[in-house]
Amino acid sequence: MGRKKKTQVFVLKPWCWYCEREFEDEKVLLQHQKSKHFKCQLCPRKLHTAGGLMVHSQQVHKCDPEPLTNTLPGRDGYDIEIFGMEGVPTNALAEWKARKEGEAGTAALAAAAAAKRPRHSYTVIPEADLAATLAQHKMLMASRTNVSMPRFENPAAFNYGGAPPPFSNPPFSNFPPGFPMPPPTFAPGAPPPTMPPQFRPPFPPAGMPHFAGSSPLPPGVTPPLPGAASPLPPFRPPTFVPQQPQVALVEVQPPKDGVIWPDTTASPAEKRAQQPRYRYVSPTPGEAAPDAALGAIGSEAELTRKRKAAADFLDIKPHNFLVLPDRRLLLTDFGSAAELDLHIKHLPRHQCSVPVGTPDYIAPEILRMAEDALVHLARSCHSRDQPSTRDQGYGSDVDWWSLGATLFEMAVGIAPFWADSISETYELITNFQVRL
Amino acid sequence: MSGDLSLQPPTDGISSMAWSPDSNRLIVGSWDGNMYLYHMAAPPQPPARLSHPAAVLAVAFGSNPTIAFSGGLDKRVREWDLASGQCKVLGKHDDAISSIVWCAEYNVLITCSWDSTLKVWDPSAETGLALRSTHTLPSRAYILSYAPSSQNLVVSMAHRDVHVYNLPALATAVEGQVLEPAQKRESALKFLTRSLACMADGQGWASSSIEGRIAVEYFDPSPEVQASKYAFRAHRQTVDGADHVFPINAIAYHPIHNTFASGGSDGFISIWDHKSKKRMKAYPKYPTSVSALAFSPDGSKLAIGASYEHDNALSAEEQGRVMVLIKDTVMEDCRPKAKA
Repeated sequence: MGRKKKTQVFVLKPWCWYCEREFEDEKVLLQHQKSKHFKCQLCPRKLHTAGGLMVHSQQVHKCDPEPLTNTLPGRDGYDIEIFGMEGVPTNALAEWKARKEGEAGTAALAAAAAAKRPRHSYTVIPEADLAATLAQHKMLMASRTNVSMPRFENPAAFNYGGAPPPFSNPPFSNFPPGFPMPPPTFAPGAPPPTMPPQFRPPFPPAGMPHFAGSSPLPPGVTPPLPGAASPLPPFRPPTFVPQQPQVALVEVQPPKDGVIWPDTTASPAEKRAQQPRYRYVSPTPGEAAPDAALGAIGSEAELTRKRKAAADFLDIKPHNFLVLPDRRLLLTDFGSAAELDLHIKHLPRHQCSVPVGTPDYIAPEILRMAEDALVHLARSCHSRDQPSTRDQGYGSDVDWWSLGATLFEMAVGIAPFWADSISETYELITNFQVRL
Repeated sequence: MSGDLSLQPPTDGISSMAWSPDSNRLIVGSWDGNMYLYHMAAPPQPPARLSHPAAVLAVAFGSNPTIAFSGGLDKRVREWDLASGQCKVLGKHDDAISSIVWCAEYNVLITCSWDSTLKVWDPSAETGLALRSTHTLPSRAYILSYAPSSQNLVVSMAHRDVHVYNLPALATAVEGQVLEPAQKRESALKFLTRSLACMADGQGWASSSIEGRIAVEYFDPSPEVQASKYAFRAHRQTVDGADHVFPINAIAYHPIHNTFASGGSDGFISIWDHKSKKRMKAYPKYPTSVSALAFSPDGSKLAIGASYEHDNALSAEEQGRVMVLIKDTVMEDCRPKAKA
């Protein structure tokens, strides 16, 4: 007890509240308190507690006791009864603990561990895991059916709307979000899709290498967006529970005591039948289940229909597809959609200064143009000229990119540009080499 | 393994196998969603493939070698005309169909399902009227086994439930009638029943559990006969000092010698004589788990389906192997030894 273990588990040593000295052992602490603090100054008697010393003084020496000896200033009173570590005021204890942890560096480590996104392997996820995730998700959905809005686990992490950067709202919110918000579907990584307008912060906060290198600002000019964004804490998506298959329905128990199949409730065949590749979709209506291949076909059709309706969707991701009971797909969340028509295939450039979409599915041209806009804005602080309205921005192609990323995630189980942080994701997207 | 005739295997695990009454055809149900029909011809022929919308879990032949039945994860009971490859849906269960038996004496098909029901079908009835009766079971049903000589049908279920039905009563029951099983038992084994087969003489059955153990039980409820039931351990291995206990996936009784074969996830097949309580033969290890076993009705061949059972028994690289083998030495191998 009492020392820092290799595993970084911080163990508090016993310490004396009166003089803030640490001890290896509680026994030694008691000895110390007896001889240093609870010693009668009129006789050789040593007492166990401050109260004991007071009673001793009053009864033996018939006088009020002297203040306790050898204490830190302000801690020489008799009002607090302390015996070893017993009776130490809780606030003092917490303060001490925080201080010690800070000294040991574990506080920083713990914070880093909490903030770090869980490690994701890029290998193909075993089907059992996928099935487990699906079952888990279904359970989650079932439990949420009466909750109209998805709840944030950590609302503080999503306070971007509260302190908007200069042009946080997209200038082209032509479509009010007319559809009910879909609850988050594929849990990993992406935050709930209810924050206007970008849901995940559009850009990494100031100081991220991606932008530090790419905005050559003259000295003395404060870049407006990073400046505005700097008071915000570095964004981290809420740490989510790693996708452990928790649902007993699907989970295959590992061998126990040498018994290869220790599960006594279900046969291997039943567990096997729950794997996605054996799942059977009954052709009778009302028994439908999502199907990745079907989803792909359906979503392309829907997207084409959307194209005919002449709108740029801009936020295609698994979360925004709802599967109807008749196995058609419903596209939702038009909060960031922009109107296009058959003649105007691209948005005007000045409307492309803010990245809209969800980071994992965002197209590189959106990022590039937003970055250009930033640079432009920084340069134009003096000249005050606007980006030309005639310049072409991005067009409907960005939707195809998002759909591709979505299909990739549906097939592989992880978003194609998944990384530990959003800035890394952005870097992966912008540096992606198209190879066919 | 040497000496076994190897047939072209399915592309995914084997769930069930059945021989035609003339012992010339073998059907194999597979998790790849197909039923494979093999003809026992001199040079092995590639099988005919009868495709289903989902994995096939149970197959059975009818009285005629051109009629077969199948069921699986698509919940439908299918009757196949093997000559034309046409299929007819007799009806459906509410969950996957786990086992099918054909009772030639009564011309009825009996199916059981994970929906905890047993259904009796009359395939000769008009379309849509094939269902003769439905019987609710206490748990999900896994295995059916029929002993023609004593006309008993054993249903093995989850939670170690075992019901024995008297076939004449079952075959003549009408829809809506509540038919009590002739016997309600609990498995003699403490773990989930993995496989079960009735003795060729109809006196009882052998069942195996996921925990490497085989029990031999008898139908006769009299105390002296019941006292003779027993269980023993099998399909275990000691690997690096640790005891490994494998599920026993398949049990099949030899139709003539009344001895049985057991196949486990350890890849071994053993032949046992339940009367002398002896193992008569242990075949060399197969490279993957044994999923299904079936003796041909003439007793000359043993069909062996070997594939991974998704039960943790194999390492990832071994899991892809699927084999269909025919062993033709079983007439000798299964002959009980003369008492010394």
